Amino acid sequence: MNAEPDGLLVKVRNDGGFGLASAISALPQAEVIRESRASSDVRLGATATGQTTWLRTQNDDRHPWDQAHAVVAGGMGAAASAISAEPDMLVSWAAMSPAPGASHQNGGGGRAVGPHFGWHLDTQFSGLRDARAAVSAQDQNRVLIAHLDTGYDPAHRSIPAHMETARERNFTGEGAANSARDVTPANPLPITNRGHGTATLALLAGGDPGPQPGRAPGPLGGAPQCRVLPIRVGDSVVQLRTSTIVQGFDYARMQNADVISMSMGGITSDALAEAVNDCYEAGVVIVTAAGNFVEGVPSPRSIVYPARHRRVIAATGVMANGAPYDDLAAATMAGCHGPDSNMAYALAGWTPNTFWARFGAPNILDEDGQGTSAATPQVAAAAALWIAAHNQVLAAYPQRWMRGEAVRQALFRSARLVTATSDAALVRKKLGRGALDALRALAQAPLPFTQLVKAPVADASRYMINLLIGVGSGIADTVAGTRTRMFALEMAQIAQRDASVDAWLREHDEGAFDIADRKELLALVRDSGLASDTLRAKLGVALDGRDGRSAGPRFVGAGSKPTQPTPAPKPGFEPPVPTRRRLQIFALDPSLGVSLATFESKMVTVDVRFEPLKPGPIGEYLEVIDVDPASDRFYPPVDLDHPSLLICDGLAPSEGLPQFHQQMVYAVAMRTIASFEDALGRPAIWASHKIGEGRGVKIVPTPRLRIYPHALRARNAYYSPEKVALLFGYFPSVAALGSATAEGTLVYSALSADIVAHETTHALLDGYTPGYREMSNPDVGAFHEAFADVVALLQHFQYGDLVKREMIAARGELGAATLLGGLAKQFGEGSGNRGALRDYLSTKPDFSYRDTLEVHDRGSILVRTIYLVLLSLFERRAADLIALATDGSGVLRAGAIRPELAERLAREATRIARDMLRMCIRAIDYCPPVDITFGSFLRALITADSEVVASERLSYRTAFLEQFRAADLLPTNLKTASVETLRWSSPPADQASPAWLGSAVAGFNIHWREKLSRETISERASQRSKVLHDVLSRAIAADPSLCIPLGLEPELALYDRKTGATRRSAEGTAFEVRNVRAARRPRSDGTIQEDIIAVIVQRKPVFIDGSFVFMFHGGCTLVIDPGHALDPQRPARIRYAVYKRLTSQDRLDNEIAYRTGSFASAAKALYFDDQWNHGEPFAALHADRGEAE
Amino acid sequence: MPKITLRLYCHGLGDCHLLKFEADAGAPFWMLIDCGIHSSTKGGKALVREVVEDIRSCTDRLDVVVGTHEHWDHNSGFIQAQDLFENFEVGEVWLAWTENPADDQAKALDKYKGDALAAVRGAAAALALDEGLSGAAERLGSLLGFVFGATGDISRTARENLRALSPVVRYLEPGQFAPLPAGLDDFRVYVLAPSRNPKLFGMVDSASETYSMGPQWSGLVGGLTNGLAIREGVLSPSSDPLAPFDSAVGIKLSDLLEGEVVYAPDDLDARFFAEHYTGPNPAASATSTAAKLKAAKDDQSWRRIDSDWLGASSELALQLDSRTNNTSLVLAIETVATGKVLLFAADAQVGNWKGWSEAKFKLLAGQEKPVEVADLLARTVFYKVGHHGSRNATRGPGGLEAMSADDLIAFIPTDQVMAKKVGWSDIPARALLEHLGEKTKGRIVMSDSGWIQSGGARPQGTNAAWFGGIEVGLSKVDPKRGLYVELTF
Repeated sequence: MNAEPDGLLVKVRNDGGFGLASAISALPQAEVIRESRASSDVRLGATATGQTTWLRTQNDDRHPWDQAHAVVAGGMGAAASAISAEPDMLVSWAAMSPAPGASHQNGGGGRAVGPHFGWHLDTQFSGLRDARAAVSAQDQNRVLIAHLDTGYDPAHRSIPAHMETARERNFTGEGAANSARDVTPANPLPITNRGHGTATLALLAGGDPGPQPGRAPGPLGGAPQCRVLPIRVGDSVVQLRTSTIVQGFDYARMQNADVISMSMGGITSDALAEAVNDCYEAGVVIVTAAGNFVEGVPSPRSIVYPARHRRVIAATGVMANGAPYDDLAAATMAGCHGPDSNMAYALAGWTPNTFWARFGAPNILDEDGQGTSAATPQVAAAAALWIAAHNQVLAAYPQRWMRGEAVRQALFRSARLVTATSDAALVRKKLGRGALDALRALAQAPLPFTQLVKAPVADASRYMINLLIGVGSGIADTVAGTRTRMFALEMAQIAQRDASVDAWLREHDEGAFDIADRKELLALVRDSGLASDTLRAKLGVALDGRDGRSAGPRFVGAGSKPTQPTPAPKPGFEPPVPTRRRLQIFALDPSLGVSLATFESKMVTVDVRFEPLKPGPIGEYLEVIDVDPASDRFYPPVDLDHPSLLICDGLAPSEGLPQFHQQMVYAVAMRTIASFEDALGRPAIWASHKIGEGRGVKIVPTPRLRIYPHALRARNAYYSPEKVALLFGYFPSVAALGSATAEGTLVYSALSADIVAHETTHALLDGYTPGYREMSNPDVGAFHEAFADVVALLQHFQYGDLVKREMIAARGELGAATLLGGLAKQFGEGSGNRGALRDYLSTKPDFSYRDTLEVHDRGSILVRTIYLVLLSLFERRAADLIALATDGSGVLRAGAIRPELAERLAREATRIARDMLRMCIRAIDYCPPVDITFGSFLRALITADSEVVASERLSYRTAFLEQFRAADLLPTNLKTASVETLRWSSPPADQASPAWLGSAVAGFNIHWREKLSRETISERASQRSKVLHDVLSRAIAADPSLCIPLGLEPELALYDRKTGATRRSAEGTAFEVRNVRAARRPRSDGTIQEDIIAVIVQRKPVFIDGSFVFMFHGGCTLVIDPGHALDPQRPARIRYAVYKRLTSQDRLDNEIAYRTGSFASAAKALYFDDQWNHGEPFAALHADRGEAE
Repeated sequence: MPKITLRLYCHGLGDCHLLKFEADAGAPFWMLIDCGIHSSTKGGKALVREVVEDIRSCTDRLDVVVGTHEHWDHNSGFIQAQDLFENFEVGEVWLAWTENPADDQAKALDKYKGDALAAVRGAAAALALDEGLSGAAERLGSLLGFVFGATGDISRTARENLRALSPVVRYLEPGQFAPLPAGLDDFRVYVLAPSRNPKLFGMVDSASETYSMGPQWSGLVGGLTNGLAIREGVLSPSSDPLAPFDSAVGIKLSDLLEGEVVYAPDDLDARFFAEHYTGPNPAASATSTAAKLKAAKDDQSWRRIDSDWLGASSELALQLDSRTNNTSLVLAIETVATGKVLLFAADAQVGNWKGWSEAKFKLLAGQEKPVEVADLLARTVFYKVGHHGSRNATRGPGGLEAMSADDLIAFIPTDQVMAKKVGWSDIPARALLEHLGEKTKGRIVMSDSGWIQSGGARPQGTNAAWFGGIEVGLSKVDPKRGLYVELTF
């Protein structure tokens, strides 16, 4: 279940004075959500007297809980009357959409399959078919069931016989308030899980849809003759807000509903607890879903709210084979249960593989209903039948609440305590009171009222209050102040959103705690990334034991004797945790040390982000494992957290010490990662990898890039996508006379900062955009190499001291700073080519873009161009400094330049390089997904930069344009080349916000302010890819013309390369969503830009003379402005669609010509096709150049 | 009129050309250039033997047998049909200077080729044992098989068989006229390549030796050779000059992998290694889905690099291959009266072509200036396309572009189907075919063409005058199949 704050709920005193009115005017767009009666407010604290009112207002950019505290503390002018506040949580109900087309029961993933259509009604399952037959239509018709869901489809044949349409309501804000119809547009808008309400309604009280093969005659629903009051609380994408549930409950109660059936749930809330209590007091039987989760995805598994309240029956799931709806295969949906203490109020309905009415398809009843969504209406129907059968007895109870409680008891007592495959202990643990048996329930006589006991009051956060204030008696809540309650509620909400907090609570449910346990929990909450600043500060105090107001935390486990609190030792001065770690590296190749002139510049100390490190080093992003199979050696790992290394910036540079090599690859790779994260505004994610075999193959995220510093005995270093690893080689140098590298010594590629940065860039780029592995035109490979070189080159300029020394040596001329411009000096010299591997400072090469196809030569044109941009910008920026230093003459005096001037010049150079690096990296989000060219890279770069730097003071973009023009790298299809025309054009306004986009974005569930683990981020990305694929394919199936603005080919068939067969895609057109990622980056004006970048790829086979030659790729990068889900004025919008059409004949011709023409690695392609070096594409690029003319 | 008849065998992916020189008087002079077939060809041995029997049906004397270079598809016949060759009277054997055991430069090259071949073979064998890389081993193996012969029968043996065919073995130098017997003055045989320029083979001059291979190659060969020796326990890492660190640094990897050395439980290095490199055995004791998933996540085997360093062997194999191709003996045969030239380029790749212009021929009586290669190319009327039509085996500038004769015809011994099968996706290269098509005005004869293989008629729409001169000879084994084409100049 994904939850995100959306709006703020504020509870204000409503004593008849001006409090309410002033609060309404003080809070932006405030609307009344509910009026609380004194009795409904169960707490004895602050507001025991008087009426209160809940208002809903907008939240601002703060963490909503920080805002809530501010409101209560008197912010927003509502001080006088605000009693409490909490975020209005927007929840996406985790319910999987039935697969398009698949309508049968699905036994995959461990799900049990029922014997036939509608099996759950059978005697050996819910018994609803027998039970509904046993209760007369007349009696049933007296009962009113409120059905809270996403609305219904009036045209569907499963519609119940008695719909109370005159009274129906809609609280979602989507569509008219007096219509609970599902307003999903009529043209089949593809929405994940659309029509949830229609399906649960059919299970609840569905009518007779008429004869259908394979189905027993009769109505569909469990209580088909009852009256149904439809209340719409979830919108068309099954998102529901706390406030809409609250309103729905209140409305159901006010309409005298007997039963509430809600196949949904969400996050705990005080307002919701109040609404539950009011309903319970009014005798309404509340049945809601226990919740679902997807196996293998780390998410909370405890019962959701309101089902978790003891005044609500939590509908859990039991499968056709009697097993709990749990412990299924990975990626399969299963039902929530627990914590154990909550299971006394849970009851299991039969799921999955129930029927599932398909919205918008009046005649279709799928059979893949799943989740506790399908279980809930069964329990509710049983309750309604029981009420119908015992109506008169119930009416005679002296108090309203007794009616509801009697129903609950009858259902609980009749439930099956064992099933075909589960014993009593398992049933209790996972189903709760048992498996639903409606027929047996009917036989239960109503209890005499003297035997009815009120269920415990619904309280949104009491258990958390106990934990927070350290008292386990259950009394503490009555004395806890408002602020403490708010803290507790925030924590309880976090527990529902963070898998590790949830797991901790389940483990410690009903157990004894000690101080250490409690601290563990508080630390988990604090570190969840979800806590507000206010709560974090509060927890910080609790965790450090330095709460001035109390004598330290006291904590007593339930049932245990009070013990003396252990006084925490008073800590002394604690230094702040450092944010940076300093490490020494060779900034330039170690061979330079041989020359006295460069001795001091070869080593620098750099700082990298501080993180706790295990030996290796192994951190969050990287793991350095130093095995050298060719030499039969394993080099023990360096422990950079060792005190001896911490105090002296790591090991001193040494070629003969493998541990220094480990330190160096770590430091340089971390700096490269930081450059990417800084520029892209999101954490670096490595490419995923496969685990398992055969059908069990799963694609899982790779948390850490592995680095092998001594993997190869070759003049080579490469990134292996298959292993998600960097492999570095070493080789004996036999250098030409006069080079710094001595003949016979070894050259280590791991000791070249340039090579490490270069390879790390390959890995990062692969994590972001795997599409560039396809070498479809001469620029693709060249771009790969050039981009990695650009990153390495621009990183040179971040070694401030080095730049300054070079400035002095070169007397302020950047272009003359030779050491900085050549990449990987030793590597190049060692291999016998005099000079640096790729020397970008040498005079203009004698080859041009138009007729150079060799990957490295072509790439070097791009790198050189970007280097010239750096020079030209530096000249502009340095001009005034030189003028100042020379009294306007522009001519420096002879001799060394002043250190201050060198310092300032170095700073300018460093800054320009940093800005340029950021621009270049940012551009990759705006590049087409396949078939990149230098020209499209420039366009992406200009576009990306214009997005974040609106007005250009420093003319970076113009500098890029000029140099690209000079090098003849401009895109050929532009009539005029200017910064404006180079920007990608945005789609026309009428195509920018297609209907499918809004549902896709809603389905993405992006929580911009959430801090997630990288593993979760990459899991979410793949879930989002699936969402986008679903949504888009359905939209395209309905309207193929939607392909055009996206650059996609409509009605593309699927091609199986193994069999050579093609078949029509069931999805309108064949395409693949490679990635959906969210980026947040600061604009130059200080605001934050939020983008969703989606990458879509298509491919088709190309045949020449009847035989398959290659797969031709096309696709589209969508830059999406997420807009605001609830603001119709700000819909999600496609900012840019950067595509390469599969239908472009030009592109196809060019690629055929390129692939069949002669280019550099001809010999390799000849013998090994694309796979020439055991599937290591980069090994080929980096190995010795093939023979070429 | 003196004439030369070419019988170009179309038996598959491999070269075998029989030349019959006829002067106005005297017995014809027979020259055989190469005799081999790709090792992957099904029934290759039978095909080659059929070819040799066909040669025997033409003549029982071969005045000269030319071996262009040491590759299986050019010399397998000297093993596969060794007995049949005994039925011939062989006058001389011609080889390039690179095969001369008495030549220092050739010895350096030959030693390099031998060492590299051994390293590549060793690596292929080692790779085959590594499950994850067995595909690479297979590809490497097919390359080895192709160029160097199947297991056991290596092309080096074939070369020696060839050498043994006659006591007179000539090693030809670029710029030389290959000696023809008296009475054949109507013809000249120019030797264009291989050049003596060491750069074209990646050789360098160094003080210690007259010739040695460049650092990249020797580093590659040395790294592999020593690594393999360490792997087999023949070389101790401590005495390996190519090991990266002093022998005291690090722990012996094989001990850790085999668990032979028992480490104390607090040996952090050994534990680190076990946790992060070998990892837990994923198959062990995982029964539930969740446990299996966890085991699969902990599994480290997918990112181990035990054999990745051997990947350098494919690089080496490629270099070895192209280096060997560049030792190709290239002959231009001129009919003096007409000035027409027949060019046999063997498998010459670009490096070989680059050296052609360095071949300087002596001034002959009656000439104003010595013949230059450019002149020979301009008069070329028949071009045996290099290396089965691969894209880097016909040089454009200074090569094909210089062939300006109006009546140029090109012959490509090739087999597209077989080439595809062994992973050569682009033989013959489309771009080259287009270029050749322009130069020859469509007169390209490909040995695998349907019209040859089915022994049928000349292809439709082709130049009747030209193709009219081509005779297709049928196979005796299968009379529906063409065995050779014959042209007369």
